Amino acid sequence: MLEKIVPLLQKPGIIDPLLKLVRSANARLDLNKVRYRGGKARMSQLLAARERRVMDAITLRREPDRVPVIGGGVNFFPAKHAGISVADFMFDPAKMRRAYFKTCMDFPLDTSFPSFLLAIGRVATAAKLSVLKIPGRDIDANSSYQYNEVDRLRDDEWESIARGGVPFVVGTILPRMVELLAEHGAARLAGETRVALELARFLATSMGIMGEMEGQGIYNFLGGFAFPPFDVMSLVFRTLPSLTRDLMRKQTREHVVQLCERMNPWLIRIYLTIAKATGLPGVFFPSERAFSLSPRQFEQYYWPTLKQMIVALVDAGLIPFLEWEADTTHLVPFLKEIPRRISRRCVFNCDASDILEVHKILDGHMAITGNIPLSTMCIGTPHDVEKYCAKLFEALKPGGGYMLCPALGIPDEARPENVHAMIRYAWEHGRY
Amino acid sequence: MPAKTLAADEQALLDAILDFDEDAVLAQVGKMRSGGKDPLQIVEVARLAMDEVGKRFQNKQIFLTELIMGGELLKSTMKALGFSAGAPAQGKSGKGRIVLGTVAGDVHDIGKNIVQSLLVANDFNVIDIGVDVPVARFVEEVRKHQPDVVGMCGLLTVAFDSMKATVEGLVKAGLRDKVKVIVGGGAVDQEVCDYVGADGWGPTAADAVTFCRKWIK
Repeated sequence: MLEKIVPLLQKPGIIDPLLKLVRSANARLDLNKVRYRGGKARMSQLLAARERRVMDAITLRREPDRVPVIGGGVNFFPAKHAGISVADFMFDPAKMRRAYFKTCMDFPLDTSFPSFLLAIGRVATAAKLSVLKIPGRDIDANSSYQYNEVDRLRDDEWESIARGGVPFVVGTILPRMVELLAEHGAARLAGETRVALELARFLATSMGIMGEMEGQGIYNFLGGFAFPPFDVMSLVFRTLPSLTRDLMRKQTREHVVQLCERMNPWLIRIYLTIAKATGLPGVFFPSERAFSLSPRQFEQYYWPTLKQMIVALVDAGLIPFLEWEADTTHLVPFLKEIPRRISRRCVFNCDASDILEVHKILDGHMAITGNIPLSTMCIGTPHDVEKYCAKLFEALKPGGGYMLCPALGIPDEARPENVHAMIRYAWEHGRY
Repeated sequence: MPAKTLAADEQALLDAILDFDEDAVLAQVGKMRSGGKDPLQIVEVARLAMDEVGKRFQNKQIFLTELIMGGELLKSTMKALGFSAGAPAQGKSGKGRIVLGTVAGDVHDIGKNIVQSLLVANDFNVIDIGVDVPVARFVEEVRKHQPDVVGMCGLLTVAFDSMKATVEGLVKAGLRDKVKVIVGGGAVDQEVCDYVGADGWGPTAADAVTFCRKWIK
């Protein structure tokens, strides 16, 4: 049944009225009752100021009032900060909600990834999702979720996927990711019912939190997510070593390129649907494999489809938050190929790249964020954090287009005093 | 380019490896074999190519995928010649012994496996103890195998404290001063190395080989 429902959800004629119905039911049920903590006017002002500050930096339309300080791709820092396990955060909506709001209140960031969207433990378990290792289910309750990397596309299936296309992916690959899809009869029906119930609970919780955020002055622009086709190939279909071997052989090399091209429109439709469902413009868009490629390989296998995807998302009114993991300094020049009307609706989240070189290359073409080392956030001192922030501000603050943030968002094990030091630094030294 | 002067067919093999094209490599190996070339000479060219791959990687002329490809091409060449791929992985000969694992709380193995392949390709004897390895298991394996080097990997920030606990475990067991400890993985840097109490760290898998060459004579 799920295979039939999912393609339907991608059709605007179906998804739009459905979302309208869900939002209206949600409003009637009062799940997202807005409670204004510090008075409605004050919270509305705070929210508007944060939104203006972040958008001024992203679009480079003007210098913001001060450098925004953001959490970036926050995962389970709220769980650690509130003293609950990662498993509790992913499986227990009440504990997760308390941890999320406590963290938002204790660390007044201008924006960050709404990590409550990671509370998918129950849905993932009902669906028997095996593409991720889930804390408390597959790995230690205090560890982050991790990808379960296996060759879901086997060595001898390249021809089948080339001939079979999307139906082969849905019929053969998907059941290797979502094991419920491999079941039949009553077990399958019971499983799908559980998935539907858990999904409804997840959506109700998420929408409730989103409604409450406004009353607390919490600004989030990130909601959807996207992965470039090459990363989908590597994370879902083939492990990095297998994909690397594929690139050494003419025949499989051609299959990789063709599959990335064929998947792209399909993936774009999925990402647009997810973004539409969240109602938020920002799309968290990690690139986990780009760093491993040479410029020649990147140009051949990665960039053409990624570029199309970025343009399609921006053309649909979205803001891709490009988190390029590890050192990708050698690939940043490719971003200059994107027209400015597109690039100024994107953010480059710099992990371990040479941020000063990145700044020089991009030269106002795209907003930049990130780069405070995760080690400094986890085991450094507040003084270390301040020193690093000073280095970043000296080069990146002038002229705007910059947001202060740890390399890959606030890490799960960040010391709270270090997060405070980062926020304080932006407040004290970030004014324009 | 390597300093040694190569025959035309050897140069062609070296070029094919440095072009990271397995079809061309295997075709050239086949041609050399049918021309009566000594298999050991062919392996020697492949090892020369690997040295060049390592140098180019250090100089940022090539990147991780090509580094892995280099190791894979060495394996394919050996296999095509009827040798077992690379040096013994689990225990026999080799220049020195390295116990390698991903620390507790982290199940990522790609980085660890790349380090393992590179060390094996460089004739080190690697005892791979897997992922999510608890402190007690690390200590037990070190006691059992008495390695020269202990390599700890981790991609997540949760790995920092696991690495630290593992080093402390080695100290408590009286084993720390008998081994060198190297750490690596996504967010590892000098700060983490100091925090953990390791002897070295590296941003790339190739650094593990550099350290082991330096420490194991």
